[in-house]
Amino acid sequence: MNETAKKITYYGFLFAVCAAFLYALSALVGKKITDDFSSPMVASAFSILFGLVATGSMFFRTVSKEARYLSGRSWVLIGLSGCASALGVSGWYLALNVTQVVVVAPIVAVYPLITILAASLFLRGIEKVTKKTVAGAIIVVIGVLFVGFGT
Amino acid sequence: MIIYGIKRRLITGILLSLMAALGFGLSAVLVKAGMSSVSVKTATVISLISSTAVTMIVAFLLHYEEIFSLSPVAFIWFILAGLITFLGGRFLNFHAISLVGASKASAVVSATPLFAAILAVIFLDENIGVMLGIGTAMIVFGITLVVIQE
Repeated sequence: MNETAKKITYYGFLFAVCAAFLYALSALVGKKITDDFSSPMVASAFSILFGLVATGSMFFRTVSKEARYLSGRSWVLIGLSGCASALGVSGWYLALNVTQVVVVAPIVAVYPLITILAASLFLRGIEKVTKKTVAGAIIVVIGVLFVGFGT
Repeated sequence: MIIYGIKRRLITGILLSLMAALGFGLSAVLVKAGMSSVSVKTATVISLISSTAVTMIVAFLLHYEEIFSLSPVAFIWFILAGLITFLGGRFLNFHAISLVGASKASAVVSATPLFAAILAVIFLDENIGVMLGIGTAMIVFGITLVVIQE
């Protein structure tokens, strides 16, 4: 691996770790909101709305330039990605409404394995799924279950 | 009759959990597939437009009355959550997906409960148990395996 590729990989994983930290921080903020102000579904909907307003305002110039030349395929795929994560959030909260967290958490925790399966099926020309990635993801999922039950 | 009701709720819960796992799992792959000709900034905004539409519809369908009785302070917290989760979290997550791929980025980002547990220990005075220790070690080992490929 050359220096540039190493740097790209390094930053990629650094961003992933930072994203995980921010999602965890948002869980703490979410706990405060759901304890004191609203139901989780309402909190999610409004947080996403304000997230959209913030990112839309910050990246307005780039988005308005690129959106005009964006292919229909990209619009659909990225739009579907947003729908998928929204269904994830909605499904999570609705599931917690009808059953216990001990049932919901282990099922939802397997999502990286779904990503790997889907990536190996639909992203064949774009990214390579290695045995180490699969093994690592399985170990992370089991670890997450331990953490979930341990807290 | 009661057992039938409990069973039905359990099955509904499992199906909804599977929907959540599918949604989270497919999201990274779909964005990776669609991001080839667009910047992370634009991808983040477009994905948030559709996310907002879906969650707003669900929230209005299920919690119509609650929405109109929200206190103004709640909106300050919603803004804070929106900035952390989406301007911060989703933007960096999409950056990671574009640089190292959906499968590797997802494996690392899925360690979120570990960070949540650490923050809970620091800020909410929760205890570190054996399970948490084992889980932490496994997550660190799993991520190391994903990161050190070459």
